Amino acid sequence: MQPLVEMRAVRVYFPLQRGEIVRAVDGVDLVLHPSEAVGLVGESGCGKSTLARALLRLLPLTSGEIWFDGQPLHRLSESEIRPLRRQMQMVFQDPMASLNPRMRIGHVLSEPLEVHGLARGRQAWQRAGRLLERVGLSADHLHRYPHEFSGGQRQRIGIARAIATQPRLLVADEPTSALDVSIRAQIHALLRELQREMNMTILFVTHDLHAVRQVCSRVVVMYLGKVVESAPVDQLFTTPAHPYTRALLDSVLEPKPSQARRPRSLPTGDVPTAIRVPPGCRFHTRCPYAQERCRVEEPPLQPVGEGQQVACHYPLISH
Amino acid sequence: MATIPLLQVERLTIGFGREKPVVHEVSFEVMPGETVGIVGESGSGKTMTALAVLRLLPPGGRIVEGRILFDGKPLHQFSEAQMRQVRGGDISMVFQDPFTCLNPVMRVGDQVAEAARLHRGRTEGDPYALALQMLRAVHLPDPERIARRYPHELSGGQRQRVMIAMAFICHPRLLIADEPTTALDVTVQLQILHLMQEIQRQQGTAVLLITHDLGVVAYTCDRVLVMHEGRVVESGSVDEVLERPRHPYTRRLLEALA
Repeated sequence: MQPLVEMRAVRVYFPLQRGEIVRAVDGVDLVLHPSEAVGLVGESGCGKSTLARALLRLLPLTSGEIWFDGQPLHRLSESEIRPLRRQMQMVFQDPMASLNPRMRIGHVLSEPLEVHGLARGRQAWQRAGRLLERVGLSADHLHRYPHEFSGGQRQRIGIARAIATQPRLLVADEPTSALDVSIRAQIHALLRELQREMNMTILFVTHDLHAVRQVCSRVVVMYLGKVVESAPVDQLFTTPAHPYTRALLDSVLEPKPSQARRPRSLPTGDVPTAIRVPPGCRFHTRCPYAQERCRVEEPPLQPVGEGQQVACHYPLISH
Repeated sequence: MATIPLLQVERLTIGFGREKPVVHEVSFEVMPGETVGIVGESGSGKTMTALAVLRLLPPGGRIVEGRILFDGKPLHQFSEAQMRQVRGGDISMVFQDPFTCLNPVMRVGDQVAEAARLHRGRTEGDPYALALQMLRAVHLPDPERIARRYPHELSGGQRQRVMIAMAFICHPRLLIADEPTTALDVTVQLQILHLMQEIQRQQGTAVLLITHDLGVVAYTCDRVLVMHEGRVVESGSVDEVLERPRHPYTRRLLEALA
């Protein structure tokens, strides 16, 4: 199958004062297939949000290539990308910050339709009403302002706006992190439903492994600017190959006391900064299994099982 | 375990002006050495309950009704001067965001020592030496060097360790921890929970843990109260409440994490 998105050796660096450089994304290869929901997980500062923004060309690349449906996004100018924007949309963490507080919801939703020439005037307004119904709100809400909605409702509006142009790719950056748990699950179900119905590809950026389970079919794990593992969801949860993935899974505290008290393998110390990236394997400073080789030689991402790839010299599972 | 509660909250009702109370007739007890969790979503009243115990309600907020007894003493009637003796002494606290709780222009070691200095009667010896000892007890590498740093020079996990050092330096009998690990990376969260448990056991401290995270409750607490819209909807031992929830709201919270 022809991939919808292909990222090759993508690097995004941010120069600081004093000549230091934040290597936020430091050589990532990532393929997204049509109609696939992929979770991009990792802790804060691992580069997952930067990668997502770079994919949509909301941030400049330092180097590397991004292909979208056969088109070289990395070489296109802003005006050449604009017609492609309706194909690739984004949902942000804080819908309040991304919705104009003085704009009625009807305008928020009909604007993308008009900008991309998909509908105008009353027709656009009517389609906006149907979009609201599609995300579990009502066409009566068209005349209201963002502040009149709860956090969960606002995120539904953010999603409605993103799917207005019927994109092929939806990038959702921590769309539920700011919401209460009971609301989160509803939004996850909505995303999953829309993805199936509209055959969208979703890149779901999150630090929440529960969320990944609820939305995605494949997971990509990042650590300090690199992909360390990629696998189908169930496989990743049952047989993680990278010690860091294992640590992430072991960090999840189950709400059942009988499960919560299971033994865990935990990394020591804090995540190093992306300014001073450790040599060799980036995880070696915290890895319980690190050997001499890990301190000097950076492991490449390679296949380790059916549909599973890992960047580790000594993976927890072998072929 | 002693049979007299260390903290006793009876029918606590908190209101702002003439608005409907944000916390309504909440009652619970914390026994010495015990860890009690209050779990709820935003707006449930869990943080207001904790702040009321510390008598740190935001402006406009007041205890409309009810009693707060600490070791039998009526905290709800204490003067501000009396409360200043209690806070950081018998009762100390750790909040979600250590960055906003630490003084940005004061070296870390001086801040931890300051906590000891404010309650001289509770500690012995040189406050700064005691601070270094505490920074070592929270497993910060090279405590002498860390002590000379400013908060912004530390990582999130290190700052929360500093907060814990400060909270425990006067051997409090009760620690109130409001979302102590929510702002931390997941792989650091467990380290901090372990650390709190370790020192809590050494010192025999009781903990009142405020959180939205049922996983944290399952991992650390003996008993739990579930709050929803200002009321306690369910309470009991952690095993009872989380393995066999009775209230539909508790069930809903658990299902959201399935």
